[in-house]
Amino acid sequence: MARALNTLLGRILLFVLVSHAVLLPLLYLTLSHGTRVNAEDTYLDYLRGYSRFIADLIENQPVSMPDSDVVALMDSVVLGHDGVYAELRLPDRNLRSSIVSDADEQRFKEDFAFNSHDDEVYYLSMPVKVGEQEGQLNLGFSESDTAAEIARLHRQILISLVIYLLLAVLISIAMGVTLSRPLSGLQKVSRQVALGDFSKTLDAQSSIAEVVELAHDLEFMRHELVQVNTRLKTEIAERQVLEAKLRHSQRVETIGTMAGGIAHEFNNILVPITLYTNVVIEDLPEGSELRGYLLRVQRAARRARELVHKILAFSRQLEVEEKQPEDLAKIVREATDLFSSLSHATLDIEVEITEEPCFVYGDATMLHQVVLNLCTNALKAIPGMDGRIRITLTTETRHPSSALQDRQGLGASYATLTVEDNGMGMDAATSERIFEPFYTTRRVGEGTGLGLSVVHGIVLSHGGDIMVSSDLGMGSVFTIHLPLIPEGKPLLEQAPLRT
Amino acid sequence: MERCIPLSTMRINLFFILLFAVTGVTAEGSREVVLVVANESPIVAVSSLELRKLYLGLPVALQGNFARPLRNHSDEQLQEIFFQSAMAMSEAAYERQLLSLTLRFGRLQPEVRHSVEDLKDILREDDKAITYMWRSDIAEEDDLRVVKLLWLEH
Ligand SMILES: Nc1ncnc2c1ncn2[C@@H]1O[C@H](COP(=O)(O)OP(=O)(O)O)[C@@H](O)[C@H]1O
Ligand SMILES: [Mg+2]
Repeated sequence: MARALNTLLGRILLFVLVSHAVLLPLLYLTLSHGTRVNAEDTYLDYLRGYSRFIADLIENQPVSMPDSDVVALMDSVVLGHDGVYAELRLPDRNLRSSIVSDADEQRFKEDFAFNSHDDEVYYLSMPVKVGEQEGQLNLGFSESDTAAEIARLHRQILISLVIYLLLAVLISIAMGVTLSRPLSGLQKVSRQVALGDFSKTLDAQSSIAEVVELAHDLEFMRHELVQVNTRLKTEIAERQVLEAKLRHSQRVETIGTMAGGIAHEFNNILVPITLYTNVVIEDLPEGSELRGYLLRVQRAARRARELVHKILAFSRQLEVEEKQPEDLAKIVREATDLFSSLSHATLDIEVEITEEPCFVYGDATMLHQVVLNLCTNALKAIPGMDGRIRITLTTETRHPSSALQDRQGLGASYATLTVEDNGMGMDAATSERIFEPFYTTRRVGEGTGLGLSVVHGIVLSHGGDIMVSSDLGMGSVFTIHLPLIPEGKPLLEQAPLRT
Repeated sequence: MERCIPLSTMRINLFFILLFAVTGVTAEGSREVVLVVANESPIVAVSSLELRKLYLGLPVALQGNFARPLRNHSDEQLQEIFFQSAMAMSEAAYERQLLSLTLRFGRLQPEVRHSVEDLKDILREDDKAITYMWRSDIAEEDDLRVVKLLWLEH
């Protein structure tokens, strides 16, 4: 009940009902009183005037009327409109209408106001002078017709007011509905907006200016909200990507620095081992048992040196010296040729290399290594025989509006190298860590966990970036971006590369 | 508590006291309303038509004198009797007529007095003055005279 009263319709109805509950009785009382007084006064005026007329008729005779004529006049009054009683009372005689009785005379009680004495008859008395005699003309008229007329008028007023009340209620319901319908429409949509559904427009199906304006303002707000929301969403997404990248590269950087330091020390330790082993091997006769042992030491030392070099490549401590303009297309083609000649025949290797000139400033051997490492991993990820590896190289010109690419520091144009396989793929936890040195999912002895960290180091030292997109069982795509340089440009004019 | 007079009884007593006070009912016979002038007034007779004209503010010569009508507002019932028996119209109609005649002919309206003593004084001072009152009000006055009987209680 209380809730229904708190709606717009409820309030309007309540207001109309309360105001009418006060006003209508007041109106009824005023109107009915007015009509009653008016009707009574009119009747009273008529009765008094008529009685005076009869009295004048008797009074103003040149010769006083014979009694029989007076009685006849009294009869005509009683027979006339509303007539009930008529007599002329003189000091010596009483000339009463023959139609009224003594009992009627008993009832005579003079009235001065309508409806007094509870007898439904208006009795009145007029002074008359007949000759020298002072007389009284006593007349009585029925009040019932006038009372009935007044009652009828009152009923009519009551009916009109009831109809008026019903109309007012109907109109207020209509008003409440026309007011609240567009508002509840607005409310529905704005609730959806609040819940995050911005698809519907806020529009009021109403001709009421305030409602239309409200709808207009709300729609403006919704529009702003949508824009702010989308801006915010893209910004958050960009930030998340950047933060992830930053976290990742920081971790890789830390590990790289550490590993680089260890590798450096290791290299220093390996130098005397390799040197003195070589010296001792020279001095030992061929085929001797000791020489055989030392040759194994030499091989192991060489393997250790390779490992150290890989670590140093990852930690980018091998850069600078050997960089020069290189045709990336040529490098990729050579590497993939080498790879396909080494892999088994059932493997479907697809290579797609752009015709565009594709020059980068870098180290050919290292870039070679990148392609080979990626291809090797792809191959290892394919469990069965029907594997497919797809290598593409394309060139792109940076889209000027992309803020993300701006932050990556890539030049105006860059090469995109992708290595895609349909192998077993990896889950998110794995792909998070694959660029870390020594991270591997393979058994001990099967993988070193250095392949991708080397790739990562090389790509970064060439001013590029590397991304992986993969899902368990869905294969993987490795994407590398490398900045391009105009073909044949002198070395010195190259901008210093970001590391 | 039981000895107290019930409130309703007290009311009825009060009502009768007031009724007697207002209507001035006396033991001797029925009441009358009469038209009164001073003893020395030249006015001796007023017809009912002349009376009505007089109180509607129209110029009426009574025995060759222009009378000065006065309205007696001392008593509610007296007024009712005046409107019914003398003017033969309702109070509202009387006021309406009076206003329209005043506007049409520019006549002065009959003066109104609220006290019977005032009225008597005017009658004594002005022999053209004429007014109506209960006969009981002039029973003691020998310098005032009745010109016409207006109403007799039935
Ligand atoms: N193409 C690929 N598909 C699925 N997993 C891969 C792929 N490439 C790399 N990985 C995962 O990344 C890990 C690290 O790779 P990598 O650094 O080359 O070391 P390794 O190959 O010695 O394990 C691998 O152990 C493997 O789990
Ligand atoms: Mg590997």
